[in-house]
Amino acid sequence: MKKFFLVLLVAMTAFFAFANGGNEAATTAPKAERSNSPVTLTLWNSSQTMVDFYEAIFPEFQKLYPEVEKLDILYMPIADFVKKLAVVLPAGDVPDIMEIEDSWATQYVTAGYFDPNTDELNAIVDQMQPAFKGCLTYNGQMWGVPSAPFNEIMFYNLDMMAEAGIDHLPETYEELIEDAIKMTKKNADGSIDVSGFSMRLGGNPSGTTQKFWVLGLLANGVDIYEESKTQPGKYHCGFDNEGGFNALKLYIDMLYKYQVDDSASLKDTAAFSAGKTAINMREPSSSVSIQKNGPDINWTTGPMPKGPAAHQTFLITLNLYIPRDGQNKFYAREFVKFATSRENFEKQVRERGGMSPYVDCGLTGGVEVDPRMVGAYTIPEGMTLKSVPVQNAYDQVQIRIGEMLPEIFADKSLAGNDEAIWAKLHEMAKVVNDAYKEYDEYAE
Amino acid sequence: MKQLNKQKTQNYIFAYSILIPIMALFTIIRFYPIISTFITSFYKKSMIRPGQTFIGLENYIYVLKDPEFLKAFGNTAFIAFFSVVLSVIFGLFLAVKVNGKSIKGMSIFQTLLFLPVIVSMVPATLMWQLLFDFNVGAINYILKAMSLKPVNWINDIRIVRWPIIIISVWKEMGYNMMIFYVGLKAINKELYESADMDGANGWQKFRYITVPQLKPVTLFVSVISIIKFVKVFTQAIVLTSGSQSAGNILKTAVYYIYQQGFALHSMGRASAASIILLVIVLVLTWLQMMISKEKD
Amino acid sequence: MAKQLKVKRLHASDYITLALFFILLFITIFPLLWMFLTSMKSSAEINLPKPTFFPKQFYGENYHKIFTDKYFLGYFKNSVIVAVSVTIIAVAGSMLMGYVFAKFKFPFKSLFFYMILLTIMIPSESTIVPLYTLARNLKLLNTYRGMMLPSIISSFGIFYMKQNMEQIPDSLIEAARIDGAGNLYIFLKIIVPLSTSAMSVLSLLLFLTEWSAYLWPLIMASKKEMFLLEIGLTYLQDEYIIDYGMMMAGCVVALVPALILYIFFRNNIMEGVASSGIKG
Repeated sequence: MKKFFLVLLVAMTAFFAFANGGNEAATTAPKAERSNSPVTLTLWNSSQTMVDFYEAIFPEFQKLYPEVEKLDILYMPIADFVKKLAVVLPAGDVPDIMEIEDSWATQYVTAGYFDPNTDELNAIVDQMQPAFKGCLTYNGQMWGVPSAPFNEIMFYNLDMMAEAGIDHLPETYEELIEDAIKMTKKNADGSIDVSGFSMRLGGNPSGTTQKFWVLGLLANGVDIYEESKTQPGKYHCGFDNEGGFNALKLYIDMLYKYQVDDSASLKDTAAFSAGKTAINMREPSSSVSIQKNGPDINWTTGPMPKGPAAHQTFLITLNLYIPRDGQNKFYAREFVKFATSRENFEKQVRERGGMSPYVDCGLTGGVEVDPRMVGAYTIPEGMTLKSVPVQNAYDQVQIRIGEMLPEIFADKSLAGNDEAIWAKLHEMAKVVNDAYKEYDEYAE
Repeated sequence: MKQLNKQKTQNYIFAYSILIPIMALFTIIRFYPIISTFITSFYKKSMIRPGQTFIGLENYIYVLKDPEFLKAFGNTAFIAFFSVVLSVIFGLFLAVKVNGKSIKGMSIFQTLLFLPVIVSMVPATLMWQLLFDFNVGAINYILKAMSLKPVNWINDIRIVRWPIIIISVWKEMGYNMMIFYVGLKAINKELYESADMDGANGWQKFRYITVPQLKPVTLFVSVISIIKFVKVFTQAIVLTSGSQSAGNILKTAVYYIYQQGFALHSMGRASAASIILLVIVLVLTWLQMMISKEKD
Repeated sequence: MAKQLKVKRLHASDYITLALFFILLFITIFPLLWMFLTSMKSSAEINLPKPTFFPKQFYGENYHKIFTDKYFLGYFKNSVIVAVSVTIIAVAGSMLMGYVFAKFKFPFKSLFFYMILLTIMIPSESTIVPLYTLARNLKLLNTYRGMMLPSIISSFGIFYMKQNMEQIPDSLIEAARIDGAGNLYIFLKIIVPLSTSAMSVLSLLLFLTEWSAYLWPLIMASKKEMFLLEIGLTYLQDEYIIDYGMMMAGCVVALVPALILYIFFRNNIMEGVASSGIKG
């Protein structure tokens, strides 16, 4: 045993000292122009369906640039991507291209880790929905090109609607709530078996906030922030008012008054695919998952119903950014151009429930979509698309709100107690304002 | 006398020739990051932006006043306390049982009991999430079959700490069993034989031979368990996060550190919270060491 | 003879402890069995309102997806190389240090020991940035060496070995010294043979820790080719739904090598102690 151990030890130490397994990539001078030697493009992202998409379009790209041998995509689920980026990006160990969600990318943009768009890339963005400019512009320049925009839509279980005698999709919040109540099924013990409307009550904080933003705040005509009237470029909480109150009350009422969902039920796409919720609010690309996990569900989609005070949905997007310290910038830009072309967005619409950001051909990019998805690509008359702002504090604001909301939602004593709801609202407003203060972005 | 001195010198040389290179390694890959964390805790420093400002104790004051930290700390203390106590007691109990020859096929049982240690934490927690699920979980299914009320294990903030304790104990019980088992094997058999001759019963043998003989091992297990459970994180976050759960993420101290650092990018506060946690664990360990010495 | 008689005469307390033993055994095994069976179920079956124990229909897609993943073998190889190397280096270091701390007296001994112990008390999340900078400066990104870096010394291992070696009677060492044996000789000829059991346990535990390492390898690897098994398997997931079956299959696959190693070491753990026959 001892001898065996010693021999192994020596062998391993030798290995450890001389092993060449996986050396660091040879650092060469950044290639700003087209090169004669073979190139490997690297891309990091956190969307599995986009990985499939990029791999599918890469052979076409290679036809344009045969010297690009390989597209190396590193996919990480968002939680891992957050960690990796926070450590790696400041150190400059970056790929050629990164795909990041807008609100989360802002702080990296403002810290200077990405290249501003070239005129060519700006020309692409100029042809897209104007809402994007809001989430890409900082200091008068644009950063990043939208590669996977999504809005928030409704998924409806048609069988359940028929069973409840509902003959049309809800167009207003009143109808939405009415329908949700009709379709809710309870267990003998009073807990929810099939929720009428699947509510996002917790989990990843940013996600919780985004849902509250679109379902609650936007529909009630308010936003998370409000720009200061006296000092442009500074902000404060935008929902410490009647609209915010109605938003929070809506959640509390749906849970405790109308009881269309509870904390214990199955949630979200998993619930929808399993026939455990009648209405789910999610982005269009989750349809791929529904088809895979719930092939028997008879469903359709529709746009967000008209809220009590406004008719809005959000427009969030993953963008392709070119890191400042990236190596193959020429090819990175060419690939971004290629991937965000009209044709490739049409491909996304066909294959992953994506949507086209180009303004002149509708969200479908002119593609004939699955009839069930038509609603998802419809922007009804008078409905506006709201994008996220470019603020250093915004990501933090989202996280902080998302950390507070679950406890507020779980608080039964808020039901029918307007004063208590106001108190919670003030509490949240203080946290939001503190976050702005921390980034020097606060003003009354 | 000369001989003795020579021996002493030789021992010093031997000890230091092993100690110095390894401590040098420690300095580079352990002390340096810790010292760096300590220094950062006095600065306002963003994880993703260059530059830092010295702000004295402000980070510590912020963290200690932050209700989120206090909440996280309370959760950690609760989970760690029960997890440590249960996993150490069960670990010792199982080790004694497995070591005893009263049941046939013990080695198979031993293997089975050790299995959770081998399983990775993330999938293990997801599997427990399935079992604890309110609707389709096997545990509620059993409760319902026994005509008991199903429990909202994961999404009720008052209850969710218990599933986390159960997962933690399940995962660590076998680990502690293994360490105790090795300790038990090392106890001189003659001690038990002479006790048998004196007519001691099982409990007496356990109390007067096993417990004192196992002292260094017990100290080790409890110190390591406390250190491990104070850092409880993965099971809590995996069990309670994700859009499928309505779960209010159960915040633990390490979650707080993680959130301050990676999500909110405040290196200073994350560092301050880490140092606070370090000091607490240090005090707990020191107390244990003292108690253990006192008993000698 | 006397022992055998005792076993047969079971007291009430024995029944209670026996019952507790089997309850704990059941709690341990049931989830594992559930996991194994879940890995062979489809998502649709997993989400059924009435849970099924045995798969109604064997669903091999999860395993098929793992074994046909083009990077699977690479992940596996990386994990083995990293975990085995780390284990051997860290165990060797821990044994030497354990010996020094358990059997030698020298100035600042307890200071050194507490400093070492202190290093496991800080969560790894908080030291990751300075450590990353270090690895970067040493040009270790995307290398096995870089992934091994934080684990090649183990404070836990040193502590464990010290506690175990303290149980070895000093008289054995004294006797060897009188025979003229040097410190290294004593270590190799007396300490190591008497610690095989503890050594096996430590090897196993360190291997398992490294085998399931997650955060550090994630930060270090920027190429799929350098991913470890644990990370690679986690990423074979659906974006919108937790694919429990897939997750469990991944876990079962990752478990097998660790289990084999455990069985190999288990014999060692038992034999080691039995043959050493420490006598006071």
